[in-house]
Amino acid sequence: MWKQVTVITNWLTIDNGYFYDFNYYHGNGFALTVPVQYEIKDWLVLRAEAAWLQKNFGYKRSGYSDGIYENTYTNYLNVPLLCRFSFGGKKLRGFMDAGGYAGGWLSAWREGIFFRTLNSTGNSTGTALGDQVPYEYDEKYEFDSVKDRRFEAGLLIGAGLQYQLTGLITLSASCRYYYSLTNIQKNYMRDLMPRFHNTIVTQIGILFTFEK
Amino acid sequence: MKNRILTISLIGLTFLASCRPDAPEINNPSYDVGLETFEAVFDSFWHGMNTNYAFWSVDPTDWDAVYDEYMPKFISLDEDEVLTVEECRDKAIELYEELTSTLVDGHFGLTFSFDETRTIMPGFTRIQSRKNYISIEDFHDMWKIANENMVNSGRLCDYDAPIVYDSEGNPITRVVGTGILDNDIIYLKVFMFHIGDYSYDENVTKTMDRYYDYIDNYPDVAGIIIDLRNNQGGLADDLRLVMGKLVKPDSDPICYLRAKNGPGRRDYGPWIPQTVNTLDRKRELDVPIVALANMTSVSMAEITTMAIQSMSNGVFIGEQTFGAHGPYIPDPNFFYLFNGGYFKNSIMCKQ
Repeated sequence: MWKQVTVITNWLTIDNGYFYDFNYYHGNGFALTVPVQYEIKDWLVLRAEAAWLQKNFGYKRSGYSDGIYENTYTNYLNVPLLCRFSFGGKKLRGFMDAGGYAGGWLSAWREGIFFRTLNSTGNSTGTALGDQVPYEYDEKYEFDSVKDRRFEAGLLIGAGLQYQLTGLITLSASCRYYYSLTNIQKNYMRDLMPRFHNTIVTQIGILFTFEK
Repeated sequence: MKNRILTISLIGLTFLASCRPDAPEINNPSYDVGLETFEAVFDSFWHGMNTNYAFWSVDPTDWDAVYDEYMPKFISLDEDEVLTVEECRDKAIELYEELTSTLVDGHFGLTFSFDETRTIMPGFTRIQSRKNYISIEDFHDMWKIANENMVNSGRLCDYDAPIVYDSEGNPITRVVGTGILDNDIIYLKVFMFHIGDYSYDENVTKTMDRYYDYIDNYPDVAGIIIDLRNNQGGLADDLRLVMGKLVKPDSDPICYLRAKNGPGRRDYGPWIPQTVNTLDRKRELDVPIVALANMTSVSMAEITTMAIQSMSNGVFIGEQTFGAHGPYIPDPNFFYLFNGGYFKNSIMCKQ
């Protein structure tokens, strides 16, 4: 039985063209993973997981748009399929993961600040949020069936360490990088700027082994 | 064996990792200077519209198909050795008129500046094809006669719509007019939404003060008519000046607007509720508020009509308006803010 804590850092590979005041940044999140594995050799294991992951990211703007930002929180169900190569002794072993994954974008939420276009403050401050009445939002993101690609697939690579504390308890720590090969947008227009997720999953866990 | 499998796996992953396509190179059309061919100009225009036009989520125009269909025609124009430069230019403008004819945004305009200026506005072409089309000038003449009749018959009292003059005493325009209709209806005629711009003119200010006085103090008000017919729009801030005393603070939104937040045609931020900034008032008038609007009511005239229509005591009387609801700033320095809107490039003319 596994008990683990998983922390995610995610960022988009994105080019915003000539809209230079957009600055994208990474987001942090969590994951829940249920693994199953099949031992082929003592150093080679085939592993599959059902993983719920948060792939979050955000942007903030600068210049006249200084202060305007948006954070997007997305939930994915990914099914990684990978080979785990392990090496080392009986108590302390290292491992490397390599494989791929596929899954789907389940839902998204976004929060941020913009301004009410028809409501000026009457001031001339040199910033949009000073000149116009700000508007804070925190809402479910409604999928656009023309634009949003909800299927995701990609590659993964990872490494970790496993330490057998006792016959019952094994400690594990690992880090894995998910490299998406699917644009989060469908190819709905000429000269589409592609956007890809890059996700680092850091996991610390305890395995309890019960034998009859 | 173990090392071989691991090596092959890593090489395979590295190979597959190169499968992400590169981002296309898109140029800021405002930096497209000295364009020398019709092909280059069309390419710049098409790409500018691809990222900057804000209505792709509702516009039925297949913009990719426009590129495929019209690029060969502009290339052909570049290669033409029969037509003169002026004839090629006229033909190019004709092609632009054709390819932009289905764009739904009534604010869209394409201006060509060479030794003269020519502007294409599909919105105007569309209303000219309406069965009951009447030009701005003809409607103004009709309205003027009707207005004079109302005043002369005594139905419209205390009516004044002062002319604004420039510093040399030349008449510029009328901005607003107000009076009392049938003894109990407040009438406001808004010729254009530049009340704020002309607020330096004391006659404009006095007219607005009379309008506010009617709202605050006129006895036995039965209704309010805001005449927005033939109004070409103007400043968003004028909405407060016209409607500010008629709405309660924390009223329901009059409409929702969203802006683009990326270079993709369908990259949008959230829908943001828009309200009217209120002005202090002495009383709440629970009377019908009527917006009059027609096919040449444009932009802020349409948004104000929507504001009135959204009120529980608001009514719109008129006809289908022009179709230019999206606010914009006619300044290329601001398209960074909205990821959309106004841009211009520059062309080196063929000699």
